[in-house]
Amino acid sequence: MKLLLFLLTAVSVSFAQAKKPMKPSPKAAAPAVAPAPRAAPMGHAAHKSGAYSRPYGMAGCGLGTLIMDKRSSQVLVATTNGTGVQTIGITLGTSNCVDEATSQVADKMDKYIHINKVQLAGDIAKGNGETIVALSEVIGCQSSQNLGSALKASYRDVFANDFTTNEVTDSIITVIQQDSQLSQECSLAQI
Amino acid sequence: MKVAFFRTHILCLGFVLFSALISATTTAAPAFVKKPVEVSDSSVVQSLIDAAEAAKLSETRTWRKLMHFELNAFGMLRSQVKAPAFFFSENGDHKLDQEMQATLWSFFGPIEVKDEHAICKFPARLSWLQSKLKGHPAWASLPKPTCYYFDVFLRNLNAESISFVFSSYYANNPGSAFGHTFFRVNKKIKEGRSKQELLDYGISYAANVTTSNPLIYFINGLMGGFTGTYASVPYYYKVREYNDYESRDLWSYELNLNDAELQQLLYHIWEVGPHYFDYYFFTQNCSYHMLTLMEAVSDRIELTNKVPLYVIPSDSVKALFEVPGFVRKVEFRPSLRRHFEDKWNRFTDQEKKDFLFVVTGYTDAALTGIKFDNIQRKALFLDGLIDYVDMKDPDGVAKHEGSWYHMKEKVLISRAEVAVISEPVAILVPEDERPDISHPSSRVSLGFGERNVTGASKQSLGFLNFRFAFHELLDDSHGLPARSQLEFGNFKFQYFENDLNLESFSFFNIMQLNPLRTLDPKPSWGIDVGVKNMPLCDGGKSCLGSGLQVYGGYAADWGRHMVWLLPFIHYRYGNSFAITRNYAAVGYQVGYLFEASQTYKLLAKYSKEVPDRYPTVDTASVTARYNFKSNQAAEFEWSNPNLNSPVESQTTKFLFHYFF
Repeated sequence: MKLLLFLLTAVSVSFAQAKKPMKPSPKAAAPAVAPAPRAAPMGHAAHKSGAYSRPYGMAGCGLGTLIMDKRSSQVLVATTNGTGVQTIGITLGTSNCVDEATSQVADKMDKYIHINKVQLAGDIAKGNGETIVALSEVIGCQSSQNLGSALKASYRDVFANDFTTNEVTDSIITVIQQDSQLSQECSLAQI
Repeated sequence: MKVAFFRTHILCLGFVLFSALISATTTAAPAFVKKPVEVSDSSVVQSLIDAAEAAKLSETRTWRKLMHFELNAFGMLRSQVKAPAFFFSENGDHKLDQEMQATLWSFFGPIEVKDEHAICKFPARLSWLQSKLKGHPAWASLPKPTCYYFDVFLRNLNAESISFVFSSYYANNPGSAFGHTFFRVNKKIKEGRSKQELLDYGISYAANVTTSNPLIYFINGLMGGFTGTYASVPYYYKVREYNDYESRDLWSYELNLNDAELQQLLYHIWEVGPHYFDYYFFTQNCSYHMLTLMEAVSDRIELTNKVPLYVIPSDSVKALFEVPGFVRKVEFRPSLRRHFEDKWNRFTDQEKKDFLFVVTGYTDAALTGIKFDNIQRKALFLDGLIDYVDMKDPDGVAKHEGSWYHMKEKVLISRAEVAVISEPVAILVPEDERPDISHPSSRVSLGFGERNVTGASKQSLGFLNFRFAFHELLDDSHGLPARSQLEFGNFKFQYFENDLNLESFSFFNIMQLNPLRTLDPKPSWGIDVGVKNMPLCDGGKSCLGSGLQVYGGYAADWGRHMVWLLPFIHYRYGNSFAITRNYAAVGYQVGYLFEASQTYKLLAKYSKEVPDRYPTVDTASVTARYNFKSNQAAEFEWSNPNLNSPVESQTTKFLFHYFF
């Protein structure tokens, strides 16, 4: 318990050091249950965060609750000081802080995309790259090639101006669901 | 315990009788066990404890390592874990036997809250004790609690193997100038799938820094004022942080562990994971506590006694090779900078010109105006531009702000419209930068020489130097950044006329030479803090002054040659300085370094120093170094401490360096 308190203090200290005021949480708008996927064609106006199910608000302190909420886009900046000095992290053990194996795909994607966003945007523009291959693994696609090509073609939709992570996730899921081949190839379990 | 229980219920006779009846069959553990444990049949536990004591298990190396017991600064055997929750016994941090008894009692305790049982929390202790007391009948009555989070932890890691990862030197931050180390837990690869490092897990040990004040940071870091804890994060965090954001190469050393050892390591990571240590930057740091984790796994793994007291990450990598056959495979993951340079090197001269034009004054028209031979060339050009922006302004790109980020948004859209899929490129592994081939970091040097002073007979001199760590410009640069210098605790003594005198003591001395690049014009800088013998006392005699010298300027290179010009400021305080105790000067240093190879080097320096109240001093030196083995080197130096002096004085010396 003492450790938990300590960690919370450590984390809140590092929060206090963040330069920019925190953005409002994108998760606040996320519904607790999975709504039907959007049928509307994609466009900037259609972007609403959190259209797919995310197990937020559940116990635990994975990335979803800790970072998505509070750090906004400053994760990389904040975690980085390279000294072997951590300002944030998921601690191990009985303080309840393990990534739930059951966390749903949208949530897993959020975590993945949030941290890999810069590289992923580049790889999607190129149509290929490590972050696309690993993403196809996260969402259970049979191969990453078709995913890469489809996302490249939808680049403007996926990375709209000042996208939030949840929006990118939702756009990617929509691209997959609207692509006849990808919707077969990618399991997207639990969405 | 029972007495108190009796007192509070003295009026309730019936209940007392009932509880007395229960007591006949249950017994509590000894008093030193923190949380009272009541087990249904204490004789079973007692027999197990007796067996453990008979086998003297609590005196074994593995138990000591599992408990993280080491001799402390006062020569006492204590646990380095500071969190009380790590111990079941009141005296667990200093009594190995009591902690073993208390642990065994706790394993047999009742299951109250799932995940909170000793079996869930300390699986490595359990598996080790079970292996040492194999076949003991007591194990049959071991409780079987549900360990949900522990199972989730293991399932998420889905470990196939573990790699020890070294993140290369990062001179922009003093805390990581030596590099950094952590684990990567390699996931099992699904059938028909390829390895995806990004989806592995990284496990690191780090200080929880609670201050932004550099002085407090430094003092706390030195004195163990911060706590250190382990953290587990998806490996993609590490890649983005080190590989991209800081442009550092990652070297991984896959450990050759058998199935039982791998399991034990994961179990041990789990059991120490939630607990904290005191973090010491130089001794019990990120590298040290990676080594202690591995040591707890098997008696064949001895690492901490293979590194000096102060643990430098590259030394910890080298320690892995001291355990026979411990490293299975070495892998290299290039930094963002290397990715960019690879593309840059594939540009044509015209493309390089266009690239410079775009990045020095970007306008939309500048980019759209460029003519490419074909769309493949255009794709390569834009890919290079994307890497360049990520490297140039990692903060802005991460925060979605700044002109570089806005430029990149447009570049990305243009790139998405080019119908070319970029193929992955294999970047050549820079074998001579492998951290495990670097020279050892401590150094002792012995030498002799003579001083020729005009109008006087030759003076014979002896030299004795000792350096704690780590690297200087002339040292062998295999596995180390060639154009930087980072020294800690460097003592230089001179022997003259039966006297051994301290010439200088450098507390730390950093020199970061960044040859100018059109695309990456970074200044060079240096700082030297310590004590130095200066000829400022009565009669021109030398005496000690403490202070610092700070350099800032530029360097340029061509091939193996590098030159620099570094203006500096110099301040020393000396109690016996003749004119004024505060010595302050400005000046500049001109340097030239020729690296015939990574082992043979020539360094020439000239500097002019204009003090406030003392005469101007011009010094010059030329040093030739041959590092003939990774741990031995010979050096010849000529120097003149003051070219302006009416009395000419020149020193020649020969030094032998031994690294250990």
